[in-house]
This record gives sequence, structure tokens and C-alpha cells, in this order.
Amino acid sequence: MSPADGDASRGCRHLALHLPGGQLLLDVEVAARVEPALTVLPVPNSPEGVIGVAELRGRPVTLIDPTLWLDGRGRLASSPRELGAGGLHALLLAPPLDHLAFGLPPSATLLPVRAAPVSGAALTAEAILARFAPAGDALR
Amino acid sequence: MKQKLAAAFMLIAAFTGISVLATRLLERHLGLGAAVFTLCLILLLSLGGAVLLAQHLSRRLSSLARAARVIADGDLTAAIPVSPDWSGRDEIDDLAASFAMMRHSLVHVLTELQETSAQMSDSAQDLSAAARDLSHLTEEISGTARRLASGAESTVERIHRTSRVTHKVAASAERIGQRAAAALELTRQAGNAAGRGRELASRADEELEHLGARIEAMSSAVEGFREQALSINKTVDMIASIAQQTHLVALNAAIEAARAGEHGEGFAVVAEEVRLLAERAGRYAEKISGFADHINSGSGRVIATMQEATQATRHGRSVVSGASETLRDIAGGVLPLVHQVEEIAGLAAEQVQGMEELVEGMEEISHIASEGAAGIEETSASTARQNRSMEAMAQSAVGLADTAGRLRDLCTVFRLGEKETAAP
Repeated sequence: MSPADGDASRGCRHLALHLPGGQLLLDVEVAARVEPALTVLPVPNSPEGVIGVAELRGRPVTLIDPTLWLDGRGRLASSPRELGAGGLHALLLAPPLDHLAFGLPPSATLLPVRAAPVSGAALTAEAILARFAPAGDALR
Repeated sequence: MKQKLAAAFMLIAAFTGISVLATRLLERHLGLGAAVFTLCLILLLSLGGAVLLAQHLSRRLSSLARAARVIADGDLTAAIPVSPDWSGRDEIDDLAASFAMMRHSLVHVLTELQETSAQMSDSAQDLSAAARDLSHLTEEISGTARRLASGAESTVERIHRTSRVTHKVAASAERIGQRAAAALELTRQAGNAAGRGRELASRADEELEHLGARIEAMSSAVEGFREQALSINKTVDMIASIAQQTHLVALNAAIEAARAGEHGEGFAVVAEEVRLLAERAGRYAEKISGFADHINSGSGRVIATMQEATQATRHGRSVVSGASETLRDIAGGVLPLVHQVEEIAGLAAEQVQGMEELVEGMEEISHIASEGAAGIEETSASTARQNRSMEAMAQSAVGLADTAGRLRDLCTVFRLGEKETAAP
């Protein structure tokens, strides 16, 4: 399905995630909710782009770096100082990716957008799953 | 002798009277011839008696004259006939006795004269020796007097020098007295200054006490500011937390608005506005937190500074208290110092007076020493004259010894015989 297909009829079906390094377009079905990630534990020998493990409402959730899809490398994971002083927010993904969450700096914003930009495609659950497929089960 | 002459004259007169009476009787009865005859007979008898008496007196006088010539020849041993019968002694016997006494006296005088001349000769020799010894002694005395005169001059010079030094010491003592008076005045001024300093220190202590109280009050006020800043921080933290939660709510509202499609567009706008407000609230909260932190840190610095000021004030009070005690000690110590300086000034004045008296005494000593030097020089001159007199006396003693020798030689002319001890 093309991201641009049916946007006009379905209204805002995307979310523009503004990050310090750029903007990432998310499919609205990917995002579940935003919660504060009070404690984040780093995981040794974890895959690239994995920030760590957080506890959200009694559940362990793997925090992944959304900037991985901006320039191919995870700046938040590699440099925790990029996360800011206010702690991380966790953008909990919707099922079946509800064991994953984007780690967001406090300055990150989400805005509903009517259509996806022409130059870029929206990040979908499949793309995320494809990226973390080898480690998905382990992360789960 | 007189009795014999009186008896002869009375006898002559009686014969004459009797002759006259007998002549008159014979002339009256026998006639003139018988009378002349009787008278002539009486005259012849009287003349014969007178001749016999004259021969007797002449023999005795001749004996005395021979004895006198023997004595005149120097022989005092010749015996002088003296009648031992005191009842029939006449003037010639008295003359012989007196002559014998004279001889005895001469013997005694000559004997004494010989002995005296011998003693005088010995004494003259002793006197000559003593005069020589005395001359030597006089020379020694003269040398000693010269040395004394020289020493007296040196003593006078030293006394003059000592007098000059004493003058200088007296001047120094006077200056010491002046300095002591000045020190006394300065000490009194120091005592007054110490008293004023103590009063000022007391006032400074009171001011520091008030200042410390004010600083403590200000410190308490600033501590209240700090506590208020901390409460502001807490409030701001709460606001920041609310802003964060609002931000999260806005983010979730944006997600829900996106899910709602075109029905959620207005909600999305509201959510974005809420997010922006939350963001601004968060920024302002951060600013307020920064202000509160600044106030807090500033209050902390002010409190620390005020605590330091309080400590400094306390230290200053302790310093001022110490200074006050020190000034009190100074003021307390100045009083006996004033007494001591007064005593020093009094002693200096007494010293000046004593030095003046000493100067006068030194001048008198100098005068006396000068007179003594002159006297010693006179003594030296007198000793020299005495030495010459002693030499003359020694010469005279020699002459006296010679005279005594000649006198003794003269006495040897007389033969005195055995020493007679008793007068005849």
C-alpha cells in the first residue's frame, strides 16, 4: 500500500515525529501511546539501535532508537546525552509491536499530518519488524 | 773676830778710862809724873797685846792664802785648815770654812763639768750623727715632697678632668631629667589615649554587637528567602512535571487525533496548542527554576557571606574585646608607669642637685688639691731649707763636740782627787 493512497479520504493517517536530527513519518497504526520511561536499563551486546529495556506499566519494553531510520545509525543509542536532561519518553508501538517502543527525547514532538511527503515514505510496522526481525523474538 | 776686837777695844777703852781715872787720881794724889808713868805702862801693855793678836791673825790668813794659791794652781786636793771647835770659831775660821766649801763646790762643779762635757761631747757626736741621719731623712722627705708635688699636680689635673666629666654628667643628668619630664607627659598622654581608646573600643564592641545582631537578622531573612526559593523550586518542579505530563498528554492527543482522521483535526490543533503551552510552561518553569536556583545559590552565598560576616564580627568583637582589655591593661599599667617616671624625674632632679653639689665639691677638692700642691711645694722648699739647717746643725754639733772636748781638756787642768760626796 502506498502511503499516499487514501490519505485524503481517511484524513490524517500519519504522524510526523520531529527529532533533533530530523523528521520521521510514522504510520498512525504503528503508534499506541506516549509514556514516560522512568528507568532505562542498557542491554549489553544488544543489536544496533537498541537503547535498552524500560519498564512501562509493569511490562518490560525494548526501547529502540527512531533516528536509526533517519541516517542509518542510532545516535540516541550511541550517545545517551542526545536524550536530554528530562529523561526519555517512550512511544509505545501498537500490537503486534507492543513489546517495542521508540525512545524519544523530551523535545520530540508528534504532529498529525494529512499526507505523507512525496520525498519520503512513512515508517510502517512491517519496516520496523523487518529491521528487528532477527532479534524480535529475543526481544520479545 | 768681831767679839775679840770689841773685847780688845773695850779693854783698851777700859784701860784708857782706868788710865785716865788713875792719871787723874795719881795726879791729884801723887803728882803728874806718877800719872804719866802709869799711863805709859798701860800703853805698852796694850801695844804688846795688839802685836800678839796681829801675829796670830796673820798666820792664819797666810795659811788660807797658801791654800788659795794651790787652788789657783789647779790643785784642788790641798787641805784647808778649819777649826773643828765651833764654840771658839772666829771670822777667819768662817772664811776658812767658806773657802773649804768653795773648794769642795769647785771640785763638785768641775767634776760635774767634766762629766757634763764628756756627756756633751757624746751628745754632740750623737747629735751630729742624728743630724746627718736627719739630713738624709730630710733629703728623702724632700724627694718624697717633690714626688708628692708632682703627684699633686697630676691629681689636680685629674681632678680638673674629673670635674669636667662631672659637668658633662651633670648636664646629662639634667637632660635625663628633661627627658623624664617629657616621658612623664607622654606617658600621661598615653594613659589618656588608652582611656579614650578603651571607650572607643567599648563603643566599637557595642556597634559590632549591633552589627552582628543585624547580620544575624539579615541572615535569617536571607535564609527565609532561600527556603522560599527552595519552595519555588519545588513548585516549579511540580509545574515542570505537570508540563511534562501535559506534553505527554498532548503527544497522546496528537496520536488520538491522527487516529480520528479528519474528525480529529481540530483536536489535533488543540493538542498541538496544548503541547506548545506545555512546552512554554516547561521552558518558563525551567527559567523560573533557574531563577530559583540562582536565588538559592545567591542566598547560599549571601548566607555564607553573612555567616562569614557574623564570624568576622564575632572575631572583631573578640579582637575589640582583647584590644579593650589590652587598653585597660595599658591604662592600668600606665598609672604605675607614671609613678615610676615621676620617681625617675625626681631622682633625676636629685641627681642633678647631687651632681651640682658634686661639682662644687670637686671644685673645692681641686682648690684644696691646688693649695695642697702649693703647700707640698712649700714643704719641699722648707724641707730643702731644713736640710740645709740640718747640715748646719751637724756642723754645729761637730763644733760643739770640739768645744766639749776642749772644755774637758780644760777641766783636766784641775786635780780633783777622789770624788767627794759630802760637803765639809
